[in-house]
Amino acid sequence: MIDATASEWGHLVRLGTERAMAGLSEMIGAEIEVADLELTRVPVSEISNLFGGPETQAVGIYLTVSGSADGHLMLMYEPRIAYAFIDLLMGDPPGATVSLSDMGRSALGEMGNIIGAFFLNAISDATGLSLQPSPPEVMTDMAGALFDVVSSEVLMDRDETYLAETTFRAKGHDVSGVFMVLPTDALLDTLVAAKAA
Amino acid sequence: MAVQGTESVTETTLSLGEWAVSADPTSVLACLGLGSCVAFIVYDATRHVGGMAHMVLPDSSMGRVTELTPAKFVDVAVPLVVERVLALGAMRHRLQVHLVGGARMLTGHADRMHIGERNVEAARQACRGLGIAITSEDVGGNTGRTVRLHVGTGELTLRGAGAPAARLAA
Repeated sequence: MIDATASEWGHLVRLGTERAMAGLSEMIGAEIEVADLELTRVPVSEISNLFGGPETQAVGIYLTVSGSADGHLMLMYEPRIAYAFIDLLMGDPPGATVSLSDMGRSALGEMGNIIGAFFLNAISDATGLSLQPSPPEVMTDMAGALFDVVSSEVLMDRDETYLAETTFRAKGHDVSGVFMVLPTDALLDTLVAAKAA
Repeated sequence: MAVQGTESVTETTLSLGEWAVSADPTSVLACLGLGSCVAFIVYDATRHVGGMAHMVLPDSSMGRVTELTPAKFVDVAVPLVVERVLALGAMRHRLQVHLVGGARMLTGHADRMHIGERNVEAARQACRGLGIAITSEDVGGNTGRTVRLHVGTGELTLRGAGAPAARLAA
């Protein structure tokens, strides 16, 4: 059952990620290349280690998923990469952004909106479910503190979670990032049931 | 490699839901990158015995305790760590108790559970239930924290995101 769930979840994540990256390409006007897409089952307590450790400074864009079931979407960047994205989104020369201003937060939030909407639309199309993203929250802090937002909900019921980790980069630009999707048990069950129906 | 003028220390980093106690004067207990999670820290300065838990959720009625994360619920972790430091020779009336963390990482309506505030309140309640007074708190706000307890000295250091470490106690 777990293998079937993982396989189905992996298929849906791939679909959603491809669509999300296409949306991001359109938004920034540069081709986005998916360098790696990895689906793993990891202890929740180790997720922040995947991003250089709990104290590593990071910028996170977080969205919750609601509708037929709940889940979480999180985009994580090193600060310098987030600033490079802001330059790209605002049409500023590379290196212009050196800190996270309200305008920069808004630009990254818009990026979260695009990725969330494209990702969930792809999954909704494939399953017939209704899944909506929340407005994005843009946060900058230690990676461990950012991941607490997700970990606390997942850890209620279990110690491990499926983690879909996509590494992507924009061709011709020094921008790359990690896009993480962590489903709740309810979301996984609902998705698999919808595909089986 | 030993460095002249410094003592070698062994740091135990507690991940989400983990706890530890120690009477080893060279040990350091640490919780790194706390957001909404709360570190519960106890120390007996006479016996040089300390304990720490990295607590994630306020109440065990919200889920289930597991082998991998026995200290994830505040109402389970606080009595557990207190019991274990007492077993190492600490005395209840001498315990210094510190709470660190419980930040509100989300500002918008995505913060549907208010976990940070609830963790802090649950920890205060658990301490009241055990009859132990809280010595210091560095809780709330909306930024991450790292805390370290040096068991040999009782020194407690706190570091915020992008900030240098500061001494909280001892």
